[in-house]
Amino acid sequence: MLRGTGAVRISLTRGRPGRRRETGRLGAAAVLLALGLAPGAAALARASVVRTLGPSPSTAEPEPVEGEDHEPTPTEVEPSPEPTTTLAESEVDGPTLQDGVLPCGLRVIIAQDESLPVAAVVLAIDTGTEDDPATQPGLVHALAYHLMQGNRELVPGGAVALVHDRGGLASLAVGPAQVRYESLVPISALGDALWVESQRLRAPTVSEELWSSTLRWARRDKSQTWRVPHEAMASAHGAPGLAHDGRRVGSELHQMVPRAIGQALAERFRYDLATLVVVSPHRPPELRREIEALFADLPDKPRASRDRSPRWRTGSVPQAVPIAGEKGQRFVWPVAPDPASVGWATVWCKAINRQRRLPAEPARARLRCHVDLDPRRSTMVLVATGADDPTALVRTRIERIEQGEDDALMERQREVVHGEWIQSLRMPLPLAQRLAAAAPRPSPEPGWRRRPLRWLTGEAALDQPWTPGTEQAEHLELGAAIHLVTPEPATHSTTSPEAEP
Amino acid sequence: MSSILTRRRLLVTGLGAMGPLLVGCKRTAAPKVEEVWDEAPAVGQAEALGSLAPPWGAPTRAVLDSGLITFWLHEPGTPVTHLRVLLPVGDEEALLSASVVAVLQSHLVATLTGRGRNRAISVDARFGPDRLEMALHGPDDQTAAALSVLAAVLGARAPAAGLEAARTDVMARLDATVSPDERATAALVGALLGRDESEQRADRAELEALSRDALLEGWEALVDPRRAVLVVHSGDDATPHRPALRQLAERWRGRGRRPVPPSAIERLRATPAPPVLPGRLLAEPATPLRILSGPGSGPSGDAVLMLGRVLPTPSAGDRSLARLAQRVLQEELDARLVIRGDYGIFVLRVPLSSHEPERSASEAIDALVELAQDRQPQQRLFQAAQLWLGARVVQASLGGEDWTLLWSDATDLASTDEEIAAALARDATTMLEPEPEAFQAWLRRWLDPRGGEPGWQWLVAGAPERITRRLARIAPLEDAG
Repeated sequence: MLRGTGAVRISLTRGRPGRRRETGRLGAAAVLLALGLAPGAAALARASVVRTLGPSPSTAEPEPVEGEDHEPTPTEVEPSPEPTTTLAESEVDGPTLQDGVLPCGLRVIIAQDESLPVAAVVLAIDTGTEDDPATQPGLVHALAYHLMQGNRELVPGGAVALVHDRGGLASLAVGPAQVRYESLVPISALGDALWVESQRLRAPTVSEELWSSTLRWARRDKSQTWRVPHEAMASAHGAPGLAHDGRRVGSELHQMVPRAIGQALAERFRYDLATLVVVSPHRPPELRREIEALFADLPDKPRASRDRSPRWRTGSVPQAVPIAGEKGQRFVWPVAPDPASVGWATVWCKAINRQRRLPAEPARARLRCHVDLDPRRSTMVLVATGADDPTALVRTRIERIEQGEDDALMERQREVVHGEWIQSLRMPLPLAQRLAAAAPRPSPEPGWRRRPLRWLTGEAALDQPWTPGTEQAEHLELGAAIHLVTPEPATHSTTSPEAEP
Repeated sequence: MSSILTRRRLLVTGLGAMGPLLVGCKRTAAPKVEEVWDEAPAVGQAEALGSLAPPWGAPTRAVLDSGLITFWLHEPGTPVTHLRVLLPVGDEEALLSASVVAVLQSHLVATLTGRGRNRAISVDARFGPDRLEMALHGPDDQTAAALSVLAAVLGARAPAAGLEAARTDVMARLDATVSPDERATAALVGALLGRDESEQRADRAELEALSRDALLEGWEALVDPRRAVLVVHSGDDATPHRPALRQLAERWRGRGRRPVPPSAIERLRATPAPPVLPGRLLAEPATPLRILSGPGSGPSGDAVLMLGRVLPTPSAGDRSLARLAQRVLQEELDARLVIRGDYGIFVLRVPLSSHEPERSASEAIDALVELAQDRQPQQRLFQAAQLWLGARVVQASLGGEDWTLLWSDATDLASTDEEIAAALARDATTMLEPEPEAFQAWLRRWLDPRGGEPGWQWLVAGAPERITRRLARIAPLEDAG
């Protein structure tokens, strides 16, 4: 036998009789972190680097959340409906997928892709760092890591090792409002990948030693760099939970005892809050049966979803939000938590970045736009420089788009974004990530529906030509934004009463 | 395929027998060859998903009247088109210099990117064994546009200004110092193939000295459609794109008279077989340890030992055994393997301890010997095969599900054009049915540096004199400068 740097091998016995596997030990580098949709080959190629996400330290005072160990109660009511559009789901052509809810409350989306013998499996849980208790910032991020420490069926690191040993990739993405466990595997390992996800949330192993190890992994993550401070994101979305650093690993987490950790896991990481997305070459009906069998032993539970829609503002002027260090140049829009809205915000941004300067505008006037992508908490940020009145500059440019003066530019950018989406979404993993960001299912009742794939990915919405005054411009008017201003009394004069959300 | 070896231009040179035909004479447009379309599929259906290989059907193969061989892979419904041009570099004197090829590659990437950008067409380049590959990726409705971009760039007669700009660009990007790893890899592969080390990597002084004529001769040799192969992966079949292909053939033509190899495999394997080398490591007949002077690779000046050999891989069984061996070794050592048809190059990289470098070297040899002596359980071989094959398709998916890339890999596993489509599936099937006894026998013969077949080479780069003195205790040294 060779001697050298071989990994320590540990045995893993799965629940099935007579099956015994060897797995490698989990290292922090084995787990990839990603935030947002970020589809595309380039983004995927970068996934070989451990990436970090989540808010950086914030100076804002988060609104108190009741109960330090308490999960904010998910709304048991139907979440806000999918965005209104002139395009009806029934009108969308192209490939279809299976969208179902199992009796245990798990949503399952199954799409087919026969291009290569690989399958993508994503378990997306509708919980995120914005759901941290006020007294335990960073809890969800740490708990997400802890779910890789195994359970009664899996040794610590067993889920990741099971995928890696078959040549696949496993990754973890923790965002403000969603945690995703992602794997891309050869189809020979699809059964194992599905089995892992059917076990992941069940009876996780909890001990002081494992929790220490979890916090060591969590501490290695660096904060995601957002374009605006976290308190600005919190204000834009009307979600106070966004204002804190979701990556913090403080003494509060170190002091947690196994019982509290187990309770926190049970409250936040539940199958009735989760969506399982599978993209594979198999026919969806075959996979349906296999998936239903894997979750059949779980007790019946109604599906629980959280409504992550922003608190929309109305009016004609942006709401001024004083933040230290701001110069009054930045405007922030929340973006609705569905792929189509993110797509249209991207189109807007690209168009704004390419608008020609008007003769009346100062020669130095410049407007730059950027979209911070996240499946549920995207934001659009406009930075106006070189103008005496940044608000006027932004208003003029947006009105040009809204009034149809830049239709050709908008249409061209729509085509570009649409083309990029088509290219990236043909690959299983980006497609699965996108489907995990899809709007909630219209009906939370158990059962299956065949739905157009392009509807759920938002591609159908982006396939519609740009038309001013329609839902394509919804919530992107100036009054829906916040304006980051210097915290001085004089700057508050720009606030209009009607700008209040 | 091992990443370091594929990234570098390890196998890109050859004898250049065609060189004299290209030098110093006025070129005339090449005569047309007969355009031939294989209406019936030229290959059988590939086994696919079960053996972790792409589920492609038989491609449409055609020889255009410019001499270009095309393979058209049709995947119904795919919204993306991939085009890959395989340009052999191994058998042309004008392309012997790695510096020339680096400039040509840079020019191709820049011009293709510039022309494709407004059509949402992206471009990338990579080196395969003895060939440069240029790939274009774009929306399916841009297939004709992508072919037009190819025609405009590859059909350019003498892009002297562009090549000059590319030379400047390459020099700006060239690292000021060459790492010991890079030097050692180039030198070892050169030695195994019987080629000069300078043919394996670009050099600043050589780049500066390149004449305009040398670049233009290299250009003409590289972009000759009579030596090239085009692979297309599209949602359409080839029929509606025949006019675009004919236009490509019209605009992209070779010059002068030269042989037109009738098959893609012949074009891509024009280089001669590597020489048979005599030595073993730490055994008779002993291969001397070559010493490459220069600074170490790491901050502390770590020295690196590279050892390797050419492996015969004439059959799927041989290739599977070689790949399994590399995969099993890679669990504990830094082992690489590049397969090109009937031979492969195996390389082992060993970091040398600064205190006991001779021990590091001996232990690496011992590890190979021990592997050859131990019978590997079938399950271990099966797991190794599954991991390698699984990782290949996963990587292909992450890389954009570009079938032309896998097709390029498949050409290295086939003996004829007709075999290419089934090559990945066939080799995968063979890998998944390992026989421990055959594996052990193969290892003893080919990967035992002491007792197996001779043909081993080794060298050290980045080692200070103190280390080389210690290495002299275990092997005769040869100063390679």
